[in-house]
Amino acid sequence: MKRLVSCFLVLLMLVGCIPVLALAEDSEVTLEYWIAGDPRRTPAYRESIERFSQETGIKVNITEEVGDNAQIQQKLYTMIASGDAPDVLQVDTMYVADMAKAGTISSLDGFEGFSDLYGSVINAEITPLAYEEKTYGFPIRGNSIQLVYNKTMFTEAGLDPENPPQTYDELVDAATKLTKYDENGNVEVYGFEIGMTADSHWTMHVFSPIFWSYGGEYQNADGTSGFACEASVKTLELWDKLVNELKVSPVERITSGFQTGKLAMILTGEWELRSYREDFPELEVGFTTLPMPSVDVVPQIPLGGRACVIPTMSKNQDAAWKLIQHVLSYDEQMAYTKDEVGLGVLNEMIDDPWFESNPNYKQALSDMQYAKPKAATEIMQMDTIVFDAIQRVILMGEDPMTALQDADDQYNELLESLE
Amino acid sequence: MNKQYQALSKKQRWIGVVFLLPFMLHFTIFVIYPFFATVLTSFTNQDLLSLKNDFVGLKNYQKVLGETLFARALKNTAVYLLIDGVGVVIFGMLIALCLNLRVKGLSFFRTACYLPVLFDWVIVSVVFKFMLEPSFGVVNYIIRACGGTGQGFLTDPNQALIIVSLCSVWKGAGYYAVFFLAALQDVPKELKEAAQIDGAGRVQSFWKITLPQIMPVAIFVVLISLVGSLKGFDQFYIMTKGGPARTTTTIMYYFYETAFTNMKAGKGGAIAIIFTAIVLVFVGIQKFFMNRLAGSEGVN
Repeated sequence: MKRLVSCFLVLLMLVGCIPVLALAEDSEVTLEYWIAGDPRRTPAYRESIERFSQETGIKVNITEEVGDNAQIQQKLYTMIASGDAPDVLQVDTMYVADMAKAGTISSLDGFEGFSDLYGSVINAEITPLAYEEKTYGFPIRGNSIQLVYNKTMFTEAGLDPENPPQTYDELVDAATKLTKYDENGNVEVYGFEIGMTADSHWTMHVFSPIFWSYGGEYQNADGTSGFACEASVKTLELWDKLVNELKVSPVERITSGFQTGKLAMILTGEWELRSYREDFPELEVGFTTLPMPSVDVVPQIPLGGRACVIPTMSKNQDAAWKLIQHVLSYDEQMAYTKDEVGLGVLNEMIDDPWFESNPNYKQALSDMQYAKPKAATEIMQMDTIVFDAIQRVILMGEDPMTALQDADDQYNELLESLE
Repeated sequence: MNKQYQALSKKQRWIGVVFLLPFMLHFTIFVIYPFFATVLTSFTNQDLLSLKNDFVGLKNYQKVLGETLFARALKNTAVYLLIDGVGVVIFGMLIALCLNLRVKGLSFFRTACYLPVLFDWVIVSVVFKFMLEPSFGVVNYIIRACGGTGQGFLTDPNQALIIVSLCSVWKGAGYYAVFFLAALQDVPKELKEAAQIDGAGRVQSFWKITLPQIMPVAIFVVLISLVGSLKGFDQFYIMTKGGPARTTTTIMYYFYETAFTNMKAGKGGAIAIIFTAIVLVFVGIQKFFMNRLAGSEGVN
């Protein structure tokens, strides 16, 4: 009987302790931070977060999500829809406005130090992260695409590697000179790669700068689809010339084609530089701003990169904001850049001496001023609709205006269904 | 209730229930619940992006059935079904006939024929994609070396669906060959010997003796291969992403794109239910034929 009473008393004491323990846990904030998993980037992000925890005493659990952009996004939306989201997460910049519209992420304008942080970020990188004049995310890393070329091949073809093509005419000319054939007339090296792939998202990423450079916009001023226009036709004519007429570009992207010497010029970004240097040390890489119709046209470069956002359901909003401030601080942004895990997005970085010895990164950073968001309503569906039209023209030889008009009709129907 | 069940004691019945429980639980959570949830979702405008979720009645069904893309997806699925569903049966049977011969190194050939079945679709798709790359792929290299013209393969709207279907045939034929091989080995030798004595040649013996004997298995294989083909997704996702120009967008891919890329869960639900109805038609046909076969063989 005594034993039973003793056990009961011990149990009572333990039960009594539970609220105290719970209180202790409440006072200690632990943030859940979701990053896009990438074996190359994760160690640098972990180190950065360790520094944050040491400075603030806030614990952070990092969850790595592995998969392509769309797969990560699917998981994320499912989590938010089921009411279970992390405190801070990295998302593709193009989704931020849609998430803000859905009310799933918090506006950051009201947090202490917002204006200072906002002012420190390259304007083209931060403005697309707004919805109805409020900012919902901060870019942890940005990117822009460049014309990347093989300097050795340029020299062999009698081209000046220090003067890469700046206009579309020069690009076509260089691509023709760089294309090599074997004795049977089969292509051994393509002069250029337009970058079309089976993936609609990347295809739109390389289609957009040319389309914009000719004055095109995804949506007209009245909100209707803007693809059936002269700018699209000119873009498709340029691609058709390179792929079908001159045959100086493959129809689809060739995996590692640039690294293995099958492509002389491609469209890609700074995220490949580390791999080129480490895995293909003999490759002499040229890196320049995208060509435009003429030298007086302002470069049009599609915005890429990841932004940090705070889901509305996070209970640790203030601590989450501190984490965003930390990852956007000068030291951390330079650390990511130097580790080559993502190009920083701060204005003052351009003056850092590190960029003098890394001119390709400097080029990428300075190109960010031209970054233009691929902003549109229902961007994922828009991508697939336009992609279909592009393929019909390039692969099936359809009339560009007919295919683009079909795309416009479908996109307009989609936009109307949202009203 | 059958006699066997009635003969069981109460305890034995409970033991039976306990053994069934894990499966029932799994089936309820992962099949029954998602199915009814999908039915409900198909009547809403659920959108994972905007988090909308209102009842819209049959609107999603009207929308899907009125879409040109749905008709194209249906047509592509039918073509795929025809090439893959029939291809695996023909090649499966041919493989089985070869493996049924008594030749040297039979074990090696058996393994080689079945090996593609064991490979994951992801690996198979990636390897085929590399081999069929139009500019520098090994297949075009061989074609060009033989004096031919390089083909577009997966980038050619006229070839992509046929190519993916043939890859599926290559991967699936070995699986169905096992069924045919088992059936072939069950054909009584006496019948063949009698036919031989009566002067029947090999071809005649195959058409008059072997084929009728393996017909029940052949019908079974045709039907399960068709249902299997309907579910084909991985190869399209990895090799073509429904392109080029929508020529490989099947119903399954169309569903995936709607629900998980465009985040339109409601509309995706409607596609899934329509797709389920199509599969059920095939299952019904399968059941009808199997019942007829069972009846003709006097099996209850």
